[in-house]
Amino acid sequence: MTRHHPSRREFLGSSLAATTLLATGFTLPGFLARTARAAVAAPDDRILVIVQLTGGNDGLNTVVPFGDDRYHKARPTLRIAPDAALKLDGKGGVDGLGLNPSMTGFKDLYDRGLLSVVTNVGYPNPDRSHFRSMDIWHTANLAPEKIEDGWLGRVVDLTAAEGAAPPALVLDDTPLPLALKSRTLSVPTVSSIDAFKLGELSPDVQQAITKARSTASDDLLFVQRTLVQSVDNARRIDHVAGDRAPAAAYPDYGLAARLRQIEQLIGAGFGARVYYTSLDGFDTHSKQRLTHEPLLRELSGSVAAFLAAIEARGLADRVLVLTYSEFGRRVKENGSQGTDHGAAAPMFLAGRACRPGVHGGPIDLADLDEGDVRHKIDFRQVYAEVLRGWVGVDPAAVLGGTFSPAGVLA
Amino acid sequence: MTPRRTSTLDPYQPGTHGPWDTPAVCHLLRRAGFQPSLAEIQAGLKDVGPAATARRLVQGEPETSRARELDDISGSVERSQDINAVRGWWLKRMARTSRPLHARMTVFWHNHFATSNEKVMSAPLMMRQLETIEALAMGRFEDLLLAMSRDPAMIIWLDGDSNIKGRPNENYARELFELFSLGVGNYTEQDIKEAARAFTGWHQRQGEFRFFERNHDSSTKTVLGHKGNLSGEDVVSIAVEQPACARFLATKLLAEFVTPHPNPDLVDAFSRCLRDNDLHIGNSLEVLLASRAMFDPAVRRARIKSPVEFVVGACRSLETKVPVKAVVDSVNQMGQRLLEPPSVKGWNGHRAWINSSTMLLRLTGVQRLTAPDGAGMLDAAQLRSRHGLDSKQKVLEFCRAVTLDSSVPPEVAPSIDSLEGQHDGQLDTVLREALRILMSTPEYQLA
Repeated sequence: MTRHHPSRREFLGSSLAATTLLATGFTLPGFLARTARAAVAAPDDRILVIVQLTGGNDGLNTVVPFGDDRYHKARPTLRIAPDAALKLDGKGGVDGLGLNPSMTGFKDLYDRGLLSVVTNVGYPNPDRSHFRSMDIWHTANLAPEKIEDGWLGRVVDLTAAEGAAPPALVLDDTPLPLALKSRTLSVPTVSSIDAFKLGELSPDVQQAITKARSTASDDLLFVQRTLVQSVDNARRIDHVAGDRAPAAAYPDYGLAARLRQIEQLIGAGFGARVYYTSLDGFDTHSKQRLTHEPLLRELSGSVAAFLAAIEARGLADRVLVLTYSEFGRRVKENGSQGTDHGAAAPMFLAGRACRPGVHGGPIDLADLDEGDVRHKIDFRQVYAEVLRGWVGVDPAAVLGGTFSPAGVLA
Repeated sequence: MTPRRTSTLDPYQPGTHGPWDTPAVCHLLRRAGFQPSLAEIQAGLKDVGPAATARRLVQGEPETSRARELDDISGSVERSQDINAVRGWWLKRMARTSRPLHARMTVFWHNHFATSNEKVMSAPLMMRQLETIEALAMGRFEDLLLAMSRDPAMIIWLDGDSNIKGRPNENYARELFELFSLGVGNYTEQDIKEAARAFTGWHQRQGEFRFFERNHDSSTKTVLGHKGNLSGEDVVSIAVEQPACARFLATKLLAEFVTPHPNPDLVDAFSRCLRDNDLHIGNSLEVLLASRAMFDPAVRRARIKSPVEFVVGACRSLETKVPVKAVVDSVNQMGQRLLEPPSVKGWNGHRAWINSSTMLLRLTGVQRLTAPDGAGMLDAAQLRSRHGLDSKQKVLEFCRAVTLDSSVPPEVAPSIDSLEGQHDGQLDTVLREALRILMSTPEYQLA
């Protein structure tokens, strides 16, 4: 089937934002007011890609302290044997750590100096509820109950400029994560590029969607803005998504498919600075081995393929990948060959911008917090460094405080 | 001393507190069910006020033969082992049922006890959980909570089979307090540990609940201040007796039926109502649905339709065919994969339904439904003949009623009015055009 790709002039003409809404004085996020012209990112724009590991990733079977007897004693059925772990050399002054044997993709990145492993990441008084802990990571606030925007949402608010592309995009099957909730606009959430197609709308339908209402509740305004933005995004994605061939081969995983589409949007100059996706299933309370290693294989293989494709496009200097999970898991395995909710865990950064090696120090299994790994690095230290050193915004404006850099960027 | 009635739950008196007109009737029917059909609206208008309508909704009318036919095939759906078949059967029954409130409450409890087939991996067990929920959805909460504690799909979902004396698995106990009965802050980590022991030995074998005495920890436990050789049944009773339980349910039920942001007075009042009714859901809802709080102008159109409400509501109000695959696919893609909720917390609902991807799907769905072939669902000619819509005025009046409660916003009204001067002799086209405009409005996304 041949698709009709509108020229810029047609695109301008059909832009809902440029017609009805502005004409009626509806206040609109800046990026909607312009057109595809702004969709091509400036060549030096740096892009942050986040992969959220949902469910609480078992850090100890991801970055394995294979040199510590306590680990082997605590994990009689789940332990990774010393000869199976993919050993990380002592960069960062930490010995006795290795990656899960399924993470050959990450091991290769590490060996090539493209992976930063940050151990012992968490926050004070760890919460072991999935939802509250994820909210803490998403809001970058230890009391997230009253916080309505996310740390990346604040980045969106700080960087959404008149005429710019949408600053962030979620490519996932899930609803918008709290991390990307912004005060000024609805960050586009796209399950797939293909799901984002819209035929012609009649003028009456366009007007029914866009015409500013004389009275409107907050919810109605929210729905209306999102409707308008979805139509605008559909036109915008349609406009840039002509180049559909991936720049490298990807393995056959769901995460790989999502990252492949992110690569295509980046390559086509969609213009977002932050892309967000997730990998779910890390809540491994029972028979962990059956699911955890395949998930790590999916993570490692998908990210490695993504970076290879980014490199093939000549964009390797512009893309940084970051992963996190809401918490790690208890040191001692439970009676179901699984692990229960824990505390500190590793983060990964991948790409040329990261400082390769292991940061965050050794994993101390002698001094635990209620059976869980204690944090030595506050996740907001990592956020702070990435915000200042990569995204280019003032971390204090996003995090509401000062956090010393974790030393994860080159 | 007679308890002082809380004014916010006083009955809404038509005339004194406001009219009992099409917008009021549609509001109640949509909240306690789905986007109503013309017949449902007309039946509501014949009631003297919301009390009678609420009573009919809670008691439930006899099922139609078309809905009963679906009950007859439930066994074969269960045996099919196909989770999409179960979804389709469920959605089709929602579209056909004469008991829309029961249908909504069944989805509500599915979301509350959010169990996913991704882990259970058994369509028959998911179907049986659904039937258990449906049977108990409108009764006492304690009965439902106990039934869920013994439900085989739930036991698989929250690792009951590995909850064994000496090595308890806390998964069910934690969610019992956090998500099923009390909410965060109303129990301690120690309560979870002790409650987990009370549920040791509650297993399933071949899809049947079984209590394994030898796996059960019968030593003393202390849960929420109660000490003794507590059983799982005891823990359920202790949980539902907590004042926090009524508050927790009140907040969730108010979000479902009245407003996502209930004020503290309303939560207090409805918590008391639930407690006074022994946490009997149907009896409590009957009070709520006919109350002044229900018809507060501030709560009208203040809820965002879920994908199920959006799709099933369109089917019911437009009396469409219900092609199972298309309906299942639509609801799935709009973000509500029934029987596979995103986590044990269920769907967040309200604004979380809305993003630029799901909005696009709703728009394209309306475009397809109102195309000349009606997506194989909407039969304009039949709809017109069924309701005697033999003039443009009648067609437009019908369309306004079954989409926007006959109160079309002034920004949209001229487009609809102008259809009276177009498409002469093509009433089916007028019907489809009007529906396409009305159902694309932001207002139509709100319940």
